[in-house]
Amino acid sequence: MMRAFIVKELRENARWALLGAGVLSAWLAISLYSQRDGLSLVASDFQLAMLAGFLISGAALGLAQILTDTRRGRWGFIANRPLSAGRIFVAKLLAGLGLYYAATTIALLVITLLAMNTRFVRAPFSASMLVPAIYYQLAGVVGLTIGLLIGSRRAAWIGSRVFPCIAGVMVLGAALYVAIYFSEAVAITLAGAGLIALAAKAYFSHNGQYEPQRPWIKPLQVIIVGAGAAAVIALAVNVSTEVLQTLSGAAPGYRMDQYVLDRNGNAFRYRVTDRNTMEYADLPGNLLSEAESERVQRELMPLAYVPLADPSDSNVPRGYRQHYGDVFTVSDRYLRPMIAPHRPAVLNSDGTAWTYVSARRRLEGINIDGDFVGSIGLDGFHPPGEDARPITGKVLPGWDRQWLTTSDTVYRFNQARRTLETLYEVSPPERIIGAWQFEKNSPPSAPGDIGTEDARAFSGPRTDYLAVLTPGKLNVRGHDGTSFAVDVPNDPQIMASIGGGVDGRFYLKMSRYEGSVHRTDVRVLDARGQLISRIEYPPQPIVLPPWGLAQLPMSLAIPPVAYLIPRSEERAGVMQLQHIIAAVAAFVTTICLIIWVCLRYGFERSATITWSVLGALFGITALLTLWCVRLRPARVKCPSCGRRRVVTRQRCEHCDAEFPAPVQPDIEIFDQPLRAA
Amino acid sequence: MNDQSIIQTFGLTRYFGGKCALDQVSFMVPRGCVFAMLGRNGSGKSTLIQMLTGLIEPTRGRAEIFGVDSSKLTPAVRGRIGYVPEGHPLPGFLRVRDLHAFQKSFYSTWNDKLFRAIIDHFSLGLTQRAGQLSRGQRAGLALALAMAPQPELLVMDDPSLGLDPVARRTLLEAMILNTRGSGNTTFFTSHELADVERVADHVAILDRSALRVCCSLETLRQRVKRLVITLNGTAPAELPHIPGLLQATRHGAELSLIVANITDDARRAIAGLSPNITEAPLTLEDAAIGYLSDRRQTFSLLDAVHTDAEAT
Amino acid sequence: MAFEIRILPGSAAPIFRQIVDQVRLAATTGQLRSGEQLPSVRALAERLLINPNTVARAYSELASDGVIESQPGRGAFVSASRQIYTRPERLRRIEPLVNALITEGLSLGFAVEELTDAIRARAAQVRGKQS
Repeated sequence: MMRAFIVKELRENARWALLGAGVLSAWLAISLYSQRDGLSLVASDFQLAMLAGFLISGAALGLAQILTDTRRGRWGFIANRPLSAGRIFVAKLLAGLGLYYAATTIALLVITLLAMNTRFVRAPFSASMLVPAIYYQLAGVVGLTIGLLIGSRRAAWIGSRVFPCIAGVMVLGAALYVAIYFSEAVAITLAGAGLIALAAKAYFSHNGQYEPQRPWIKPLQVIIVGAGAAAVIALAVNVSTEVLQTLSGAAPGYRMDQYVLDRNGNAFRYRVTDRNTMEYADLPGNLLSEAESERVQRELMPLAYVPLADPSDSNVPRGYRQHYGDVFTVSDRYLRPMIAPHRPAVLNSDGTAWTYVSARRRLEGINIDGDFVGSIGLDGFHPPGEDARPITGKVLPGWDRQWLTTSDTVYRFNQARRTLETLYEVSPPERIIGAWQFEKNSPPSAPGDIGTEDARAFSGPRTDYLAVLTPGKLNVRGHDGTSFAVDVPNDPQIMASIGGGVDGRFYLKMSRYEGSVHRTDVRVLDARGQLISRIEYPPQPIVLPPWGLAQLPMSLAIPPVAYLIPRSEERAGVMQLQHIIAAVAAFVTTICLIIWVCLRYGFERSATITWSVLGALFGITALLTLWCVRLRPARVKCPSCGRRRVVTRQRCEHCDAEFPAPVQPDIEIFDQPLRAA
Repeated sequence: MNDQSIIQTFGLTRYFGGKCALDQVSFMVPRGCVFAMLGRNGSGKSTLIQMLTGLIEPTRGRAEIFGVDSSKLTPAVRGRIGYVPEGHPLPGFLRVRDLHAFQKSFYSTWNDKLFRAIIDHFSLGLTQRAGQLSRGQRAGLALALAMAPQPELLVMDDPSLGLDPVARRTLLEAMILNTRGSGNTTFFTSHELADVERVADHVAILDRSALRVCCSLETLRQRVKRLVITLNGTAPAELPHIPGLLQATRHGAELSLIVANITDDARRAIAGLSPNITEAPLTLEDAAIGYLSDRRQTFSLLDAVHTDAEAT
Repeated sequence: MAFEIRILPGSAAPIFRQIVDQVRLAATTGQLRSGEQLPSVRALAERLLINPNTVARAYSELASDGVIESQPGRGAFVSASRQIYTRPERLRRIEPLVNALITEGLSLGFAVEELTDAIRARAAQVRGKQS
């Protein structure tokens, strides 16, 4: 029977799937054609286009599947058959998955064929480039389940109906930003889609047939809708804060302060305000003039961000491990564990593209037509048919395109000579943890220093110096003969960066939170690594912006549970009295409102208690969620006591009277046992 | 729960917003009968059927089908119910043949001969898409899909809506056919009183969300009477209270009253108007319209006519 | 079959009454001969497109009036005509018809004599056919 339903779904929706395949193919083809960084399928803007395309396709299909059958009348035909609504939903889900995968696979095939054709995309193609695409295709399943849920859930379209979208965003957020490995991302996505589908199934079953649901389904539904409510409130807080700030004309507060160095090594305070503007000030805190600010911004010292912690150290938190290297696109992360650093090298100026192939531990190149042109190993270039000497040591992730770092050597790929040049080498038991390059801090007016943006994008950033982290030491090498090492702590909490080079001076900037202040100090080193001076900048206290009307929305909306989470004392300490008063007032009002809603609509006592507790924990979000989740029965005037009473109750909640029967005994004709109990 | 009842409701009530669509309706449909539910548009017939078949939940009260609460119908019970929703909605993109295969796979009791017979009667082609059928053809297809599983209970929501006379006749034939199986019950709503009179043996009347009548056709005919009074002299400004009065219309000196459950009180009140009373024949349609028309409005119309006559 | 029942929904007479009256008239006028078999309940219901219960009800009234006899398993047959009503009952049954005739006839301007003449003439015709 379920098979029959699946067949019906396939027959009915195949045309939409086909249409979707066409539209999606066109969308992806256009995105692929217009992607800019020469990376073909793994370009970051194309990834975003894929994610959007798959999500929207899935959601549209899910919505179509539900809405066509739940329209007035049609639902009667669909529901009245010897198949429970729950199984009808499962049939729809299975058919939907089939159609979705059929349609999106067509689109992916089209894209793959285009990507393989170098006349369309001037970049090499490798099958492993499809790995992110396969993940995004799976991400679309979350869209499908969200579509099914939104279709099944009865709520106003201009209202809470679209709230569950946020649940989908949360699942994908967890998959894309928490997971490090492909398998983790797949697991998170499938689990999220499964939970959403279960909640959708419960909504669907309730759409007519009432099937007993597992007790945790309701809380799940509340969470899914509540996430949307929270997002709406966050948006409302943002907008109203912005509006109030503009209206009140108060001076902007700040979001972030840090010290920056100009090319002469002078420090300035750099501030991002809570209105997303930027301010430069000198160390005593006087704002710089506009011209001065522009100069500083133009002449910032190029610094390499150097995470000081060793990722192989198990004490290093997961988040830092994740940030290791220049992880900036999802593809990097999913590709890496599957194919190691096998990802396309930048296009060479001779039209060849080079890739590190982990299986053979060497660089391999293809020309614009996709033909194999040869391999590069430790002994240089070898034409096809000959094998280059494989690279030794463990290849570290997160290195830039032209660079290859192993645990014992840092290589630079010389495109012109087709060789690997050794830049830095250690001998066991020493090992390399990571390596970063930075450019010489030369005066900005010097010609030919930085090159145009395009040239940079094509050949990678300029590298005058190399900073190599080994356990406890940061080693700096430069083309100008610079070579020194400086002791650094193995501490993930420290934000460190290094730059310099002019006059043989190097600047190692380290900053960290310490109690209620943010401390920054800069070590000025000479070309041999000797400490010339150590400058400590005034510690920056962490303060909340001064009280103002604009902070009111935030104070009102912060869920009380947030105050229960232990926070560093400095943040709790600067809580202002006005904030506290507003927050407490909001807390009390919210609970009163929740109880009032529960009483007004005659909810059960247990529901009243549960929602009051939720209100105590989550504040206004709980109130909005209650409003969106619970059906509120209509209220009519009680004929007995004249007050408004809910229609779902047999007896009036005020006067305990029943609804009068609509009897007109004179005209009624019943020949059955009348009005059975 | 009565063994002989297929459908039973207990104070079934439904609100849409603050508007009461169905007010405490309690009735019973005995096994094996053809039960017609009458009522004007918006009187709550479709709402009632949707609650009976468990498609919407009651605000208060409950309904039972085959002794099972409507809100907890199991697939097995649903398999015994054939349902033709209002307007004969069907998945429009599917062909007749697809729908046939689809529906057939759900029922072990599927009668293919019956299906084909009904399809032929409505001159349907197997390759036509449901969305491209005429209204009558779609009705026929919906009917065939609902009847071919040979359900014990056939529920039809205004099946004759928008049908031409030929299609309506075929529908009647199908309904008669459904009475062949002993114990098969049909519950339908209709505005076609002639059809109701032909096929129904029980009738219920929903009057603005309240159930006023639920009895056999015969009982209704016996208990509703039409009395014609010839008024002599001036007509009274206002009718006296007549218990059971459904409708009063005046043509010249003749006042026609449709009265239910005539009691002695009613007779006395009428006799007070004029001694000249005759009982006139009453059709089913008259009786039904007596219930369905707005009783108060008739009085005001009477008043209007009266003041008019006085003025001239 | 020469005898055909026609029913008219929407008239003041209930459908079962229409069947009873037509069968009775046919039996009285000899259109249906005694011993002749009537169609089964189901067959008649399907022919007339009415509820079988209505037909069954009509048959049972005809049977209790003695117009037909139903033999279980074989069907219903027209019984040998006999008078089963008392005179007052017969008068009561004829009354509405007489009323209608007189009202209609007088309003059309016929004299009572003319009406009785018309009745006589028609009765002679019916008898002639019967014999």
